[in-house]
Amino acid sequence: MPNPLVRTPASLLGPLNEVEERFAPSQMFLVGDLGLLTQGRRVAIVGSRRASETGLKRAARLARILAEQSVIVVSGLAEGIDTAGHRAAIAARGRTIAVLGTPVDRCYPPGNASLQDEIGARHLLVSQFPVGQPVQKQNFILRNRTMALLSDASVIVEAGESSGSLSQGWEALRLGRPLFLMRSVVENPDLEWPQEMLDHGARVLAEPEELFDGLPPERNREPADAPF
Amino acid sequence: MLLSDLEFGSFLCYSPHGQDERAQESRAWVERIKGEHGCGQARLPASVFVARRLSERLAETELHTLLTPETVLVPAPRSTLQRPGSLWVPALLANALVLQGLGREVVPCLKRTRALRKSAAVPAAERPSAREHFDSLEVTDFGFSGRDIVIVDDVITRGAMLLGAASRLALILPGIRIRGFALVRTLSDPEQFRNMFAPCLGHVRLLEDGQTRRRP
Repeated sequence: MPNPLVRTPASLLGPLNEVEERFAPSQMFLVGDLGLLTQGRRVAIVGSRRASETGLKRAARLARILAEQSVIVVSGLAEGIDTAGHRAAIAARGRTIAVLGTPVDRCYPPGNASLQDEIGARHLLVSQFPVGQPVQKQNFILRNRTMALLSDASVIVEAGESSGSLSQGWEALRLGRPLFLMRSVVENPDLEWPQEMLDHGARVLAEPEELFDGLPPERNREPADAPF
Repeated sequence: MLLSDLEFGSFLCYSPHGQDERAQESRAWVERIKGEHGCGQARLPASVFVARRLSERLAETELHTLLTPETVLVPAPRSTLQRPGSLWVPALLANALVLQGLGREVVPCLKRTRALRKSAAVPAAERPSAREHFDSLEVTDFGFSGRDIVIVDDVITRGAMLLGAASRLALILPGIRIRGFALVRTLSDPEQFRNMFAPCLGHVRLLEDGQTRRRP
């Protein structure tokens, strides 16, 4: 693994507003194509590590459709939904970003080491944790906040009441970014969190194509002047 | 009890449906404003950028009658519930207006007690009515000495939100002048859209069927 480049979020995303600043990492360690954070639109696909077969298929289909429309697929390299999203984006010849809960020289889960290598070589790895820093459980919550910051929109494909993906959902809502919940999640009578998120502004995603209407324009494509 | 009429002003307009370059540009600007993105060469926060532009062009408009140094600004709440620390564009905009001398203070006293359908996510006929806005809002911690309140929102379409919110405030503040300001006015008919700079003063009226009509 090559030495990571070190950048601030604002140096890649443009100036952050005060709400974005609050939980933004002070620096990010990056391996791969930094252009994936300065151009294009990014959508995070997140969900359970122990996902159902149907959930994995939904994540893969969504990632493929996004990749076919040149949308960059962002996820966290975890087992389950994350892995399905990354792999489907790559298979569709799209681009993907893995936002890690470990430093870039470590891999969790270990079984995704080759996928992490591939993303670092051809796409982009992002970590807010310097090489050598011990991996702690709280890293993954911090990582989820960063993933929400780096993404123009987030989609929760499948998640239980205690899933770490929920922290990303709440952060997306706090940032005022579109948060989509797969319809199958919303219709699951065993879950309470989807209705709570809907009450706070999340939207139901019935078909992947509906995402494109909710995506904001590229934030780095700001005109120099305004027509007013 | 809903007000039957509300005075409002707006600075800009945008076209949600137009296909020409100007219409598309207007939509991109609305997204920047709603996302509080960096704007202009200095990449100022959108709320600060547009408040400065409004201040610079105030003399070309009649908005100086609405946004005075004595006006108390009340940010419009979101249509959904909101956790503390979340992006709240009308509040940022109100703060930026005060910094430009276009208001005396910001009093965030309107709170949503239950979520409504997001207007952008439902067909026009299903958008929340003024009554629904009124019923889902409460006034909290209101204490001020002014005689003039303006409710500040980012975008106005039919004006149901502003009319419902003004009606809620009027209930506990009889005799106080309450008006509305929305930074951007929606022009649903693409043929009507010419330019984003379209300052106006106008009215939101309550119709017999409970819907609202904004003019212009």
